[in-house]
Amino acid sequence: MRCSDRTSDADRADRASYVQLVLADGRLPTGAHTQSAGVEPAFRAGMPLRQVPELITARLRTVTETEAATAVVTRAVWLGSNVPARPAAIESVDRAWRARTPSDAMRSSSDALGRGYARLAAAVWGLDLGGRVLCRAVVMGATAAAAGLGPADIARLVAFDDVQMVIAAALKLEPFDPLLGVQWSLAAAAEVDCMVRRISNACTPADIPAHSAPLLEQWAQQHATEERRLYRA
Amino acid sequence: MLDRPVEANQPARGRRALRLGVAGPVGTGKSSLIALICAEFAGELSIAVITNDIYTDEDARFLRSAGVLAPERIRAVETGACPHTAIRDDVSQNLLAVEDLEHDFDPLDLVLVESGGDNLTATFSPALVDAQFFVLDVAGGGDVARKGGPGIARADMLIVNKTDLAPYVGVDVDQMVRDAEAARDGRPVLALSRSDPRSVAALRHWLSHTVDHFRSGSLHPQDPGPMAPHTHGDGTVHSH
Repeated sequence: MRCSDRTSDADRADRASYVQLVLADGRLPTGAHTQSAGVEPAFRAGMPLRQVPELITARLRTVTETEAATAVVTRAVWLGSNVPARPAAIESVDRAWRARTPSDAMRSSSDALGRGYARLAAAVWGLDLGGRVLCRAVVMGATAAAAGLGPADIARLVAFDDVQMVIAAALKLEPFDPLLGVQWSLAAAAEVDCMVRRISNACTPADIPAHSAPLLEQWAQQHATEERRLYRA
Repeated sequence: MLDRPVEANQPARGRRALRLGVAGPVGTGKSSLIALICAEFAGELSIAVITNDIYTDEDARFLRSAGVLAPERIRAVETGACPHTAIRDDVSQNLLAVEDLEHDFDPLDLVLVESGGDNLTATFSPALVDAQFFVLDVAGGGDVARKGGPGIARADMLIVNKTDLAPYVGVDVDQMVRDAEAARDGRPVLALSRSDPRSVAALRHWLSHTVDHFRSGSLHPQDPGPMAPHTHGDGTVHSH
């Protein structure tokens, strides 16, 4: 028996878990190394390094939860639509995310990442998103559908990406013992699990939470016009 | 799973613009070289420029202020302090910027991609550019060419820049060029000064030839490699 002939549910779960690891790798070529997930704006505004775990928690309860729910809903909508109806269906999810993301700086950085991700998904899974610019969460949700990931898988991936992006950029901006960064990442696991449970059953755009994060949004807006920044956002 | 080539979503080579990388250490004159090319080929080639800065958009601002190209044709890609990554192992954001320029200013003949001035080891991936310059300058020291590195040894063209400064910094340009030629195994070396019309003509000639070569479909991007070939104690030679 060749490996590729195995198709039991357990095998599919194993495959999804491997795909999730590939997509979670920080070296995934989507251009994410240009982003700091809000930590450079936070440092510029005077947030001390020791508050990075609190920033991570704040993001997981607000902007990141909105993004993760958007990805979960996109996956559901993609799988629940006929092929010709998919572009319009995910565009409605994209609009729902935009309506919940008042900072145009945040929308613009998400669009840049979404384009990088769409390039990857087109090359690897043949994903056709109709050539439109879509936010990162929507592209990740459609990729999850194409790659066989479940709703909790993609929600956890969005959360993990955000946590790791904050910590990796913090290490570059205000160097500290990188082992502490690993501890911070693991310490965020409980918060990630709570968030994943809150949104894994989301299935329509109306289910996407609209959390307000005024300080994160203000920092993002300020960063867009900052001089000599290392990260785009 | 990989049922189509990874380059499938790029325009076919020969129909899009020639993508030319400009790499080299900080301060060697990469932005000035780009300004010179824009000025020399104004009215002849439709050109756009992408800069990769370590800090945001300094080089893009310099080029816009040089007035050699419409400001909207010059765009900055931010690299998140990873200028190597942005031109080599994850070229996504640069490719998107190139494609945007090709779309917005169709038809473009030439897109110049400037690397963030970093050090001697940064070179462009052939997935991003069709050919690349590596730029040194005489003020950086006459021995730099001898030190070698992937860009010095194997970029499509090595520029030894600011030759007009040689008398002031005590560098023998001919010797520096001979060292570079020895390191390059026959690949071209150009001793360049903006104030030396013969060297500027040679630059024009090389670039025109490269554009023709690209349009004929016979230009195949070469990777200068991540490291210079080196020898081990047991006599093996390799370049990783």
